[in-house]
Amino acid sequence: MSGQPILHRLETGFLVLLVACLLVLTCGQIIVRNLFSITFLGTESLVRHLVLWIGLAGALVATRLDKHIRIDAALRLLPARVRAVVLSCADFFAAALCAYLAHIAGRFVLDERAFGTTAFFAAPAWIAQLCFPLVFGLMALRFLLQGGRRLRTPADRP
Amino acid sequence: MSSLLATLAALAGVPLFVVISAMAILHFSIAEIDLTVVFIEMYRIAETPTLTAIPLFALTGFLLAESGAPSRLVRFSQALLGWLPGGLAIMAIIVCALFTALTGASGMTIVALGGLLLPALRQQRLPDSFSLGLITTSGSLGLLFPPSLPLIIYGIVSETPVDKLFIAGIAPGLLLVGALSCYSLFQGRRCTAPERPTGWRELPQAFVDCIWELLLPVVIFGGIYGGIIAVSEAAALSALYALVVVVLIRREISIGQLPKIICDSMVLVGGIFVVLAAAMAYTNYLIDAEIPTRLLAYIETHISSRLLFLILLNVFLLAVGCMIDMFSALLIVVPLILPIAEAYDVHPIHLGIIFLTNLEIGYSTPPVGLNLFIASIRFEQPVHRLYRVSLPFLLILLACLVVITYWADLSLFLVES
Repeated sequence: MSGQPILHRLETGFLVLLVACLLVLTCGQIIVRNLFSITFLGTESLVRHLVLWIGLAGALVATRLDKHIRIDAALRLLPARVRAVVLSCADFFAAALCAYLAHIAGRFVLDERAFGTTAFFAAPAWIAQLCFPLVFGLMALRFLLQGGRRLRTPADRP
Repeated sequence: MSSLLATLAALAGVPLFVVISAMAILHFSIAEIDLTVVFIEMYRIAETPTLTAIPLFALTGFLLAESGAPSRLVRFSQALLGWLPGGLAIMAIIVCALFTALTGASGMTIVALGGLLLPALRQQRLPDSFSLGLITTSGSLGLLFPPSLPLIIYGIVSETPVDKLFIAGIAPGLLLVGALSCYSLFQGRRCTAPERPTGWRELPQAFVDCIWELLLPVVIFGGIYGGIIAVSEAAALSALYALVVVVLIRREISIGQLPKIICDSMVLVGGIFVVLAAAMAYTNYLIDAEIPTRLLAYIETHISSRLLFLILLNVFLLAVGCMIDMFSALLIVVPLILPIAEAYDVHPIHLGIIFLTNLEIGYSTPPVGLNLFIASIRFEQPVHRLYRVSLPFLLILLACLVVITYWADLSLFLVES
């Protein structure tokens, strides 16, 4: 961990925090419900939003580590150099699409703010949804960098 | 035309969630629907209750994989079955199945257990080709056992109760494990493996060493089927349980190592999650455009019998399982096939079991099944050798697939009783 840039460590720390919250909330809910027969309205929705954020944060890290699900069946049969070029083109395409998705997500969040939709504990939903444009925007950036890196170091994948 | 482009993009290694989102965006644009619908659909994920189970079970699996649990389980089953000719092979099958049930279809079984099991099998002088084939094909065995992530995902996509799917998978899963075990017994008899008379004496100690791991299924099942907790809550409890056992009781993983393990498991979850999110939007388009209905109409004019439909379904799914990662396969194909299968009177729970069995076998199917490549890298063997050595196992699994597909009650009798 120590050799990692501060940004990566912050990212990991945030992800760990979210997972810890998820664990505490879900387990706490079981205990409180079974021992004291109390259920808190809104916790359920908060838990589901936590999962949403964890999923998106995980996807962001997956982009950094090049762990997104790809169909690489055909690619496995290509020589390393060709594979690197094909994959970097794939990354550039992914970057463009993620940027566009971030743009759409931005419009979605503005719409939701205008409608005044609420999420857990009457919090405005648009704040919970800000993760969409943020994560897709950052993923676009990462795919771009990754595509460039692949072209420079062609044999980076076994 | 657009499907062709999408297929090409996917084959060129464009991340799958990008391909699916691109399809969704394209189709919504053509239909002149406001594109924010993509995110309205993605946000709907936050309304799926069972979804919570995915990160929590993934965390449980990763914690156990990083701990000493795999080697303890190997030692326990060695003590339990080491005396039997071919017993070690059976133990390898069972351990792989248990492990895959916990870690999902992430290819971790071969990587984490292969290094432990292959030398043990070689020690018993089982033929090398047999041992290699066994580990390769067992890499995805156990996906039918709870709490496998693909089963949960099928439940989410098809809106089938996950607890019922868990029960339905047990008998077919045992059939697969049993059939491979019989083959191992047969192989073991031929090669006169050296007996290990000390096995029984080690058993009590090995059992005590494993007790915490062996209690985990009790936590999961007891909770769900005792009616105390829902599937997602069972996931929370098992993650907490694994955390306490591995970090506080056994002290095999330090607090300092936890962030990396949590991060690794959430990377898997994140990868699945974006595909799931994109598939939500895409599925919505499919249904809007009445594609499953049109596909059904087309298929119904060409295929008259249920039997023929099931045969074609198997061939199709094996190809899919060989080509595509399991999670994506479920997310893309289930919404298309589900209404068609219902029209041919295939129960959604039975369909789920057929799906997973096919995808499981597809993972070891030449030429591009994922297990073959993972094993090739892990054991430094040429891929064509793995094609050959896994063939007998593949044939046995295919025979089981036939039974599972055409004998629906095998999957359904426990659910209905």
